[in-house]
Amino acid sequence: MLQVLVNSIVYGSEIAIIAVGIALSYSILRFANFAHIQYAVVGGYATYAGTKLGLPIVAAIAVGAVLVGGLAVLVDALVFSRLRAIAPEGKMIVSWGVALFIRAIIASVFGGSAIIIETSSSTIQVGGAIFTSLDLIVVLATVGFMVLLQLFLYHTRHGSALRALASNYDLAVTRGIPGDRMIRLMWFVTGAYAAIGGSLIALETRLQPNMDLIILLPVFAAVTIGGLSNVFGAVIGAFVLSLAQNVVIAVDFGSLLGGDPWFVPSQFRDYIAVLAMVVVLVLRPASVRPANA
Amino acid sequence: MSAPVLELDRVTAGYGLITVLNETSIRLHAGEILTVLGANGSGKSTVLKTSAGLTRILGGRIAFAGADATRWPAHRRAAEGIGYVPQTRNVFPDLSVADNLRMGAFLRPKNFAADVEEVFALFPRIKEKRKVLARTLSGGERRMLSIGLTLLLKPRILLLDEPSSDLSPVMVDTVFDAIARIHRELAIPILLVEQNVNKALALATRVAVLVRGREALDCPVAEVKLDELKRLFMDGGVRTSA
Repeated sequence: MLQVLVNSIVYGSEIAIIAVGIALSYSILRFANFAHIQYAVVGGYATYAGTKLGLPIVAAIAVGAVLVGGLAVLVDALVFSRLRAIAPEGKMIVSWGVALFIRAIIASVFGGSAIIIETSSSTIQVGGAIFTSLDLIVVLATVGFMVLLQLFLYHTRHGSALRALASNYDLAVTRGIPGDRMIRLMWFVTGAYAAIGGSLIALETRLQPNMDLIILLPVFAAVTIGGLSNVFGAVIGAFVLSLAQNVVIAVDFGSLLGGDPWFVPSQFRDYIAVLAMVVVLVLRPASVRPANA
Repeated sequence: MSAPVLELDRVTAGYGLITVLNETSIRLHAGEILTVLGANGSGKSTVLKTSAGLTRILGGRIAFAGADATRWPAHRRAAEGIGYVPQTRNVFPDLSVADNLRMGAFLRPKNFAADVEEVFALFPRIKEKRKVLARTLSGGERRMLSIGLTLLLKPRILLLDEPSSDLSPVMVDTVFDAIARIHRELAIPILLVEQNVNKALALATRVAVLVRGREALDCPVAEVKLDELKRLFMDGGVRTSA
């Protein structure tokens, strides 16, 4: 069972660092940005390209994060900023179109085959649980970036201004907070976080163009469980559904029912994420209602 | 009379495709409290929102302190000294009271510690509540907080949208006393939109009446005839509902 917990924490970390960005952009602009998933994928490929150019992995991730942050700002300038007045549903559909466009660019640049980023990772055993040094780095990096985000949002003037814009946009801009400029800052942060998350997933697994479909459901399920616009709710959502997925897959249902050993096939992992999301929504429907004054 | 501090000159404005103000003209001069009265839907609140930069301006001109402010975005207007207190959604519900005040002082973070004490002196209740989330405040406390966080901008004019709405009579008195004190001590002109006509006339120095987005009356409070006010309200009311 300790192994299940360790797996849940590692997987939850990867999901959480991507999910916070969706929650942050939703909190201010009130639409779920599907292109966010591609920011993670682009981040993974950027890290791979960086290492190919001879950068150490950490530097490659950092450069990728900055580039993808810039990409998120560019997408806003070209697309979303022109659609501020339309309904959230419209923006959501457009974001899906942006996602497919970015996906096509990735596939045409890097090709369709899987790419593995070489890392040297050792195995660590604690109690009955086995994990790699990379797993440890992923978890520690996530904790570090969450603390950093918390400090930014709650203890800096600009971070507080983002929370103010999310809480009451009109009141914020009439206090002198420059809404458009702050939204660009928000996109940069969300893009960079997505890129870091995508890079960590790329290191843990491998890069492939359909990586977006693998992370799409768990990430959006995590954000939904957390209440859509709640940044740290998304983190909790990521760990809740990661735990649900790993527990359901680890349990020997066959033996529990007195028969031959039978496990839920791991291909059903994502559907467990959706199931966990539905259960949470049914039990706590208030969590997805946006907060109003 | 001196040049107005804030002037809306035949402004046509609204939200999206809906036009609410139709060539409306309003002038606010130094030293005065101008109250804008009118029936529901006459465009009173839209005058304030348009002055604060929250509407789509389709025609006319807005001048502030001698400069053309028509195209200024909302945050620029705040920076230039237009302090706006909305009627509803007037605080940041998800932020603590202290953070609400800090955001009120977004453009003036340096003297925050000293400035916020002035707000606490005006509204001691806010000081007691500074650690709680603004969403937990009562209606009266929210109103005090919204005025307080606007004062932290060090505004050159105040736009107040129905400060008496949804408040108990005692709280209305508290809020109006505070407004009178702000006007007296800070010497800033105030544009006051109110439903409570008696309270507004007791405080204001000049009165303007809007009928369907147009100015139908503009005179010093001392010269107001109540039957004329009543007639204008009925006029506006009947035609609005038609």
